[in-house]
Amino acid sequence: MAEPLPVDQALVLAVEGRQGERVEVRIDVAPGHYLYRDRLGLVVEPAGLPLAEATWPEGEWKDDPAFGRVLTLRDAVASKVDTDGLPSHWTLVVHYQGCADAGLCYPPQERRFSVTPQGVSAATGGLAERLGVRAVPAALFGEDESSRIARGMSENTLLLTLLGFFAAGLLLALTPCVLPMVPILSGIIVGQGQPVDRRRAFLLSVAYVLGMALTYAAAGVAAGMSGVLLSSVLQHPLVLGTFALLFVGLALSMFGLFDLQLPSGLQNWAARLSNRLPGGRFTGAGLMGALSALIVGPCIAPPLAGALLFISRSGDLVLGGLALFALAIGMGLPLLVVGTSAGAVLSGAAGWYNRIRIVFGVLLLALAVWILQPIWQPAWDRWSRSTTQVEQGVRFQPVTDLAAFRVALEGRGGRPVMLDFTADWCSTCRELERHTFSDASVAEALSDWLVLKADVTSSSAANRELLAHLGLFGPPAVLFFGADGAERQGERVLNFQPPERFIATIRNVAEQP
Amino acid sequence: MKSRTFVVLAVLAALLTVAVTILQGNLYEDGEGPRERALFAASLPDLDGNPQSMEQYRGKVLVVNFWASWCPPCIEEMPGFVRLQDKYRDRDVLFVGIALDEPEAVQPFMRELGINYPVLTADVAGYDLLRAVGDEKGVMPFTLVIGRDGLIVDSKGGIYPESELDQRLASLI
Repeated sequence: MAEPLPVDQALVLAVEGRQGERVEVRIDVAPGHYLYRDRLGLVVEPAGLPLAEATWPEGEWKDDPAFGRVLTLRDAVASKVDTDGLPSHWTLVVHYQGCADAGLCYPPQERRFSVTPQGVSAATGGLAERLGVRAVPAALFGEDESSRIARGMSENTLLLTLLGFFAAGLLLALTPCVLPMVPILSGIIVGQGQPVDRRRAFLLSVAYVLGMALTYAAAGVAAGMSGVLLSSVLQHPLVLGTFALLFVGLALSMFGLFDLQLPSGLQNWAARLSNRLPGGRFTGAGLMGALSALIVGPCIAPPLAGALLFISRSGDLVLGGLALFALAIGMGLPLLVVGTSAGAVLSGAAGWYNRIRIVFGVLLLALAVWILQPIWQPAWDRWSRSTTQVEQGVRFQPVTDLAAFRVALEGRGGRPVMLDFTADWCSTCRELERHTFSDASVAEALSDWLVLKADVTSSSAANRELLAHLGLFGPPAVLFFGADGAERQGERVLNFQPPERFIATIRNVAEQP
Repeated sequence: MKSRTFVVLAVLAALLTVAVTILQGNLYEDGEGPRERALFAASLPDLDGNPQSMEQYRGKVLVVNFWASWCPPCIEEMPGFVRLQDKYRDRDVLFVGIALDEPEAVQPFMRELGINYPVLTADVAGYDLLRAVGDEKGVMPFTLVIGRDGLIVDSKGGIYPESELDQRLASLI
């Protein structure tokens, strides 16, 4: 089955017009989708105003196995709303619900529009929106960098996809991630032990880049086949640690601190082997390219994860292979230039190479630190949070279970209470912490509040009980309680809010009776 | 020449580490992702209004089906679930329905379809759970298959054909 469309593409709602004239509600229904007529509704708010008279089309009967005969609407559905007798500012609420012939349904939708003499604009603040019912892609739960990349990609056509991957590869070539490849490639070319002309250097570089590209293509096919993310393998601390050590080793050898050598017997065997292989040195260069692809794998893990996620979702083996091949060619293009020129420069005098060895060494060390980021980042975040909070951010009082929460709530002393749920795996929570809770004006707005935080990273009985008591499934969730201790359920924040909007929410709670 | 042999050695060492890591299954020692955590952290009222934690179902092969009374394809596939629940009841397979509905709206379907597995209800906030377990667009029906180890092995938006689900369950028991 094809991927279902997001609800806003399957059922496209538009409201046009202005108060004083007519207002028209229009829903364009994508092919293969339909609306239930008896679930279409128009409501005028505030309550007490004349009801909007809907003039939907008649629709057609559909024999529904579950519901018998129901009226359904397809294509374009429109209704006029008579604005006579309505004030100059009012809110139109549109309800609709539809399904796809493919055998799936979209949840009931509720959209609000402000109608004024100037026109119509989408309004916020409805129950449905606060609860995150809207199928707005940006509100995806726990969306991370990889899934954003994957979503962007799946909308492209094949050629655009490949071009995109190629361009992404070129961008990756600008990152330090390809640095480890430079000494390897130079080593292959200079290590010939004989003068290398420009043509031979170029061909060796091509062999090297092709080896690398084929490895990535294989990874792409594997991802398409298994749906398993190789990048999750590459993110394992043990793997990251090994590669970091490898980079440090490379850096030290760049500084000339030591040279590691295989026993001479093994060296001779390797030399004989590469001579016997068809293509000789070129095969060797290709193999080194393949190995290099694995070396830099962890370094380019986030973009690689996006690419592999996209491929494993599409399940298309050919596309997967081609896409990662294009990525690697893009990444390898600058290497061709480096390799070709290195051959010319280095075969004459090693001076140029020797001079930049130090620079490479330093960059490799930096790279080692950088690929370990997934390991040290959480610790760093904790540390920086604990220090910045003292200065300006929101200060939380931790609660560990339901009993502790009740005690804390009892001890609010006439203050309103905020309870923030967080977990290590919740990326929206990180955003809230970094951008909103660290903001001095948010802290200021919460200065007269009792501010609690529950870390529900572990699925322990205590955490589950606390979540269940409050009717939550998990973070992100920020709950507000009035000075009377009762929760203001309508104000729950279940998604990221920037500081200004969050402050508005806080004010809203504080001002309610 | 020297730096190249070092590179070969280092790359081999790195490859060996990757291989060993994969073989040892280290990667999966904590394989539970945010989707599993969200699902098992949920506690939802049953049709009598008593909260039921999803955690209690852990350890069985689970089929968790999100549905609603207003969703015809959801209703269409449920007789198949009833048959498969019967077929696999003795093999520690459990279906759990999560209806994004009021209990009153669900009751008639329990009788009419002869539903023989637990059904919990979730009101509007159920959509958060739905998204949290991987149904990004909120479409229904949405069905998860979960192994004994508590890991989601399959998820499907739209009708889950009975024969396909049958095979999937057979492969898990």
